[in-house]
Amino acid sequence: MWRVQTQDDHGAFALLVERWREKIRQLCVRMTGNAHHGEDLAQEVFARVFEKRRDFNPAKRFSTWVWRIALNRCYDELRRLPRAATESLDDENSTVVLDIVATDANTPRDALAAQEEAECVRQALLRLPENYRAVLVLRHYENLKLREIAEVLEVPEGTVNSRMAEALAQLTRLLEPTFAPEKKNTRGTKELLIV
Amino acid sequence: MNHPKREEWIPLLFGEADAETKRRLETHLTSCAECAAEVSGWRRSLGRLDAWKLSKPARTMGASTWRPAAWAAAAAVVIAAFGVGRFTAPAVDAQKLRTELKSELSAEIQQGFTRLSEDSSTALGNLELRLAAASTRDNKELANEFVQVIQAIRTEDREATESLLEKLQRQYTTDFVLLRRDLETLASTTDDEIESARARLFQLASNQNP
Repeated sequence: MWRVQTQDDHGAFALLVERWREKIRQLCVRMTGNAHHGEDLAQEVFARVFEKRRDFNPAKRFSTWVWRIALNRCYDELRRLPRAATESLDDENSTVVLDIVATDANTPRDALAAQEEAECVRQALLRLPENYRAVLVLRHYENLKLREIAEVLEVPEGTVNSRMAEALAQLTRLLEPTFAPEKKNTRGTKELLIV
Repeated sequence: MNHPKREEWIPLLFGEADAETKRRLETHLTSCAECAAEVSGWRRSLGRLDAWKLSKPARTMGASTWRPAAWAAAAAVVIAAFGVGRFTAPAVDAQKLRTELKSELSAEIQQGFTRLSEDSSTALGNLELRLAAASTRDNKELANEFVQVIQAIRTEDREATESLLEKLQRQYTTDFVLLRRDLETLASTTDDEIESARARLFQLASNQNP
């Protein structure tokens, strides 16, 4: 990052993009629930990183800075398109952009069931308030430590913990009826969450 | 019983609690069914998050440009190895070589069939999903067409009814005018005849009483 910041080194920037692209893309897809928006947002994040390269404080960690930029870009996008992220499978266009894969499935039926479970999880996450969703996504999918999340969000670690507790409580309330063994069926899963 | 605060469970849940906190919380969990149920629910939810997997992104220019060079290098290595082998290898037993090749080929063909079968299964799965999506789309389109047809029929019916009513109205007006004219004519004729009859009666009365 130092070479990008001081020498406008495009080669070094390309290396940074290569190293971070997939992580940032995944964060954006998880936060917006939409693969196309996620891809576009990831590109915008790197454009912004380059644009703001002079603002980066070399005494701090690059990872914290880039996660923060990505997260803020996601928040902006979610405020701009509040409905876009909550498309359900019933929308005929949404199947193109959900970006759900179920590679472990052995049969088409298993694949369908896995896809429905993935859709339930996606919808449940999207129903969480953004700040709760962010801590869950950063910890569970991006493997950041709770302390690192606190740095990214610029809040005390206790706040991260309390947001995480609330996020998990809400997520459990949303997922538990859907995944409970007695109610688990391929038709019921989606309906329970959409109600 | 003093329960720990909810946020106190989070470092334990993610394996970030220090030894003392971990011991204290785990001891509490063994004696408090309420907290144990809550924490195990949270653990289940975290496990369920793994159901949402993301696909790999589309390949970028950066990733694809090195490939032709890599393939060219690999091809060069294979050709060189073949050349070296061709001119340096000792004479071999053709029968033995054939047997080895046969067993290798059989194994490869078997693997190929297995891979093909797996690929077909995956492709069928994807096709089924696409068909389901296409079927939903087709059903929606059909439903829309049906609604449009019904609306068109309703519009036609309404227009026909309105036209008929208008025609009936016109007919009714015409009949009414004609009837009124006839009645007026009849009334006028009747008046004349009454007047004439009265004059005749008057004349007859005059003749009988000179």
